[in-house]
Amino acid sequence: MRLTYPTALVLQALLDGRHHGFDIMDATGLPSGTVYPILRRLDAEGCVRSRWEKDGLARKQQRPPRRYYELTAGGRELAGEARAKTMAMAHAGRRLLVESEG
Amino acid sequence: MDRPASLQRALSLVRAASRLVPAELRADWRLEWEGELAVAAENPKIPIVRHALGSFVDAFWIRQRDVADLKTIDDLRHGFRQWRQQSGFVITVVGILALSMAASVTAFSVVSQILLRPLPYHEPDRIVTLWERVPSADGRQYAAPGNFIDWRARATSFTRIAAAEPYSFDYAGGDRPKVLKAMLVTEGFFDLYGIRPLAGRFFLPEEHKKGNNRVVVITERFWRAQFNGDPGIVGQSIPIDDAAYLVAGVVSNDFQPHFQEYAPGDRDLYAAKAIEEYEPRIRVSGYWGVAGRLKDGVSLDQARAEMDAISVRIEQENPRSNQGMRAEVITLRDHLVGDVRPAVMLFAGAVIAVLLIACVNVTNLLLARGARRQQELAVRTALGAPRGRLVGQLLVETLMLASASSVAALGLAHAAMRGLASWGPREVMWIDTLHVDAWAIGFAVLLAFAVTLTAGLVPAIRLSGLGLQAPGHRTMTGDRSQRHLRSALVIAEVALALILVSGTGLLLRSFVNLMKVDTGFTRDHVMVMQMFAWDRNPGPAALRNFHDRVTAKVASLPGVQQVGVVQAMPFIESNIDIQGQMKLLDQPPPQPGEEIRASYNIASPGYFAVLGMRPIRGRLLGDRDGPTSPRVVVVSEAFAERYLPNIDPVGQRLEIRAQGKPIETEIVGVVPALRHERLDQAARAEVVFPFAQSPTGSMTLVARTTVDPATLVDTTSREVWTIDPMQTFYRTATLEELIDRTLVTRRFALIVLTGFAALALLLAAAGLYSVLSTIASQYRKEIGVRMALGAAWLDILKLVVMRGLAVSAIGVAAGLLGVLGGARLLRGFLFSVTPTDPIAIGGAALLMLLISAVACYIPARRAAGEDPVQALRVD
Repeated sequence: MRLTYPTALVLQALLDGRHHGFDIMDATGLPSGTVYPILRRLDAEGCVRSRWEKDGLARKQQRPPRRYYELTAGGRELAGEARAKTMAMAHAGRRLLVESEG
Repeated sequence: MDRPASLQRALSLVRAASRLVPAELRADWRLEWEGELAVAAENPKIPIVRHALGSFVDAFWIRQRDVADLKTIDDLRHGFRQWRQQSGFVITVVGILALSMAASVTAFSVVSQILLRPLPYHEPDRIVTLWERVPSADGRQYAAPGNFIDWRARATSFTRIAAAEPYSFDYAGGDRPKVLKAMLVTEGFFDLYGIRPLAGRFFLPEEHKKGNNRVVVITERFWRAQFNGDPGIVGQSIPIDDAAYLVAGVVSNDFQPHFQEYAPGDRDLYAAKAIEEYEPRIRVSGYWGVAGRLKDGVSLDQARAEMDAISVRIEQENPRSNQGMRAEVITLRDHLVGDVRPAVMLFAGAVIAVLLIACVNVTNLLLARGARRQQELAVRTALGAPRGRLVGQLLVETLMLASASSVAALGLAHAAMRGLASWGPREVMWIDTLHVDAWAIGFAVLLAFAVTLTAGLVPAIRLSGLGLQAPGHRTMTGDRSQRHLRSALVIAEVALALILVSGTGLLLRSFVNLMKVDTGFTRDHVMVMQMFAWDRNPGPAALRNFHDRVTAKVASLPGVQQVGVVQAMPFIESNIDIQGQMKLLDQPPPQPGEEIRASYNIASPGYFAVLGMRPIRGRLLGDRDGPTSPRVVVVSEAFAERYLPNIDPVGQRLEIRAQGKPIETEIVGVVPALRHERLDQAARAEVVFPFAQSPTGSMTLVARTTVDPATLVDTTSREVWTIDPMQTFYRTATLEELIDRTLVTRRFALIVLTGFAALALLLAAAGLYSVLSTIASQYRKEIGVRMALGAAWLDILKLVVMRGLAVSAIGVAAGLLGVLGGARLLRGFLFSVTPTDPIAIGGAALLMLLISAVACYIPARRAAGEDPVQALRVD
C-alpha cells in the first residue's frame, strides 16, 4: 500500500503502544477524519488487527466498549519501513509534510 | 459548553454519520465511535465535537469502499489516482484545454453580450435606421437635411421618423470653458425608441419651433459628472453658448443611438432641433443620423420598397443634387453591430480552429498515455470488466480533465474579458461591459462535455478494445493502426494550424503595407487642436482677425516651429466632409452622371508647411493668396487623376457654387493624395481653398513642434484664452494619436490572431513531438537492426525526421486547401494583399515545416543515440 506521511505517523503510534482511535489522534495530532480511514485501510490490508476490549472495564466505567487495534507481523514490517522513511523525511520538514499530506 | 452537552452533540453527529455506513456494519461502527467519544469526553482538552465531524469522513470512506455499484464515484476516485500519478500529463492536458476553452468562452461572451444583446428599447426589432447611398461613394452615408425632410413628409411606413445632427455647445458653467458634445434632435426622436427619461421629460412638439428651442435633455453621464446626479437640476437653466437653456430631463446612459460619435457614451446632451429655413435645400452633404419606427404590419421589405419609390421621386424633382441617390433602410441592430460582425466571425473561426487543435492534441495524448495503460486495462478486462464499463471509466477520466479545464478556462476568460473591456477597440459597442455571466458559465460546462466527447470518445473506444488482447502482448497490427490514427490526427492539427498561421501572415502583411502607405505628409511632432470659432467671430473679417491673432500667438510659443489651420483635418474623428458639384471651365462638359463631385477644404499656407506637404505640380497656397488676390485653389492628386487624367491641372479654371452663386477659381497646384478617415481608404478628391479667401469658423489648429506635441496643448489653450477666454477646444490630440486610433481594430485583430496562431503552432508541434516519440520508441528494434548492420547515426536521424516531416507535409498540403477556402473570411481585413498571397502562405507553410522539423529532431536524436544492443533487447 501507499505509505503516506499520516499513515507512517499512525503506524508509529501503534508501534509506540497506542491502541485506540483517539489515543492515536492524541499521539499523532491528526484529525479523526484522517486517522480512521487509515486504520480501516490498514485493517483491510492486513496490517492491523482489531478486536473489542473486554466488556468488564467498559461496564465498570459505564460506557460502550472501545475497539482495540494492534499491528500484525506485516504491519510491524510496514511500520519499520515507515520509520526509516519518516526519519529521512523528517529532515524535509515535518510541518510542511503534515500540511501537504494531511 | 459543558462536557455532557458537547458529548451529546458529538454523539448526535456520529448518529447522523452512521446512516452513511452500510447497514451490516452500522451497529459496530457506531459502537466504536461512541466508545471512543465517551473516553475522550473525560479529557477536557480533546475537542470531541470536531473529532465527531471526522466520523463523516470515516463513514464516507467505508461507504465508497463497500458500495460496489457507485461506479461513477469509483471512476472519479480512479481518475484522481491517475492524476496523482501523472501530474505532468494532467497539467499538459488541462493547460491545453483551459487556454483554448478560455478563448471559446470569451468569443461566446462577445457574441452573446454584444451581438445578441437585447436592445434597451420598446420592440427594438421595429426600429430602423435610414441612410443615403450614392453611386460616387462607397458604403452608406448620413442623410442630408433636405432629403430627410422629404422622407419624413412622404413616408407612410413609419409611426415616427426623426433625425439627429451632431453638434457642440460651449458650456460656461464650469471653471473654464468646455465643449459639450451634443446632438440636435428633431421632433419625436426619443419617442420612437420608446424610452422613458430618468428624470424630467423629453421635448415637447412646440419646443422644436425656432425661438422655443433653448431646451436640452442631458445624458446621465453629464448629469452625474457635472451635477452629482441632482434631480433638482431638471427645470433649471444652464449657461450654454452665451444663453440659458432649460434642462427638461435626463436620459439614461443605456440610450446609445450611435450616430457620429467616436466613442460610445461620449455625449453630454441632446438639444431640441428647429429646422432652419435653408436646411431643406441641403441635399448633397449628409450629416444627419436618421431613425424610424416601422408601423405595425409593415415589413422591412415594404419600408424599403416605399423608400426606394420616394427616392426616385426626389431624384426626378432634384436631378442635379440627387442623381442616383437611394434611401437605405437597415435595422437598428445591423446598424449597431453590423460593422463588427466580420471581426467576430474571424475571431470565432480562429477560436474554433484552436479548440479543434486542442481536442486533437488531447485525443493524441490520451492515446499515447493509453498505450502505457494498456496493461492495466487488459488486466481489468481479464478480471471481467465489461467493455462499456471501461469506456465509461475512460470517459469519466476525460470529463474530469475537461471539467478542471473549464474552471481554469473561466478564470482565464475573466482575465481576457477584463483586458478586452479595457483595451479592446472602443468602436465596438458595449465592449466595456464584457464579463463572465451565467451564460458563459453554462457554455463552459457545455464545452467540457463537448470536449470530452470530441477528444475522449475515440481513445476510450480504442483503448477499451485493445484491452481484449492478452495482457503484455502487443501486436504489430494494433500498434500500426494506432500509429496511423495518431498520424492522421497530427495531419489534421498541422492543417488547422497552417490555416491560422497563414491568416496571421496575411494580416501581418496587410498591417505592414498599411504602415507603408504614403499619406503625403509627416506624422510626427504635430499638435492638433480643433475649435469652432463661429459664434463670437461673425463675418469673414472677424474670423480672419481671430485666425491671424491665434496663429501669431501660437507661433511665438517656444517649441513651436510652424502653425496653420485647416477646416477638414485628416484623421480627426469629426471628419468634416463637405462635398459639392463643380465645373472645369476649360474642359468639355461632362456626360450626364459624370459631373465633378469633390470635397471642399479650406487651409492656410501654414497647414501645408506643418504637415510637410510638397506640391506634386505647380505650387502650394501661399501668403500672396490674400483676400483681394485672384481666387485660387490647389487640388489633391486623387482629384487630378479622376477628373483631369493626362492633363496638367495647373492653370485650369474651376467653377464652384457657393451660396448659390458661381465662383471662378484657378488651380495653381496639386498636393499629394489626402486620406482623411483611414489609411486603407481611398484618398479624397479634394479642392483646397485658401483660408484668407474663404475664412471659416471650423478651424483646426495644427502646429509643428520640436518637443512632444502633447506637452504643448495646455500652453496653447492658455494663449488662445488670452484672445478669447470663452474659446473651447473640441478635440486636442497629436497627429500620430489620430492615425493610431484608426488602426486600433486592425492591430487588435492582428494581436488576437497572432496569439491564436502561436498557440496553434505550439499545440501542433507538441502533437507532432509526442507522436514521433512514440513512433521512434516503437521503431527501436528496427533502428537497432539498422545500426547493427552499419547504418550511421545520421541515417537514423534522417529516417525519423523524414518520417515526421512526411506526416507534417501531408498536413501542410491539406492545410493549404483550407487556407484557400478560409481566406474569404479575411478578405475585409486585407490591404494590398490578395487572400492567396504566396509570401504569407508560403512563409506560413515553411514555418510549419521548420517547427515540425524541430519537433521531430528531438525524438530522432534520442533514437539515433541509442545503443543498438540495448535497442535490440526491447521486448
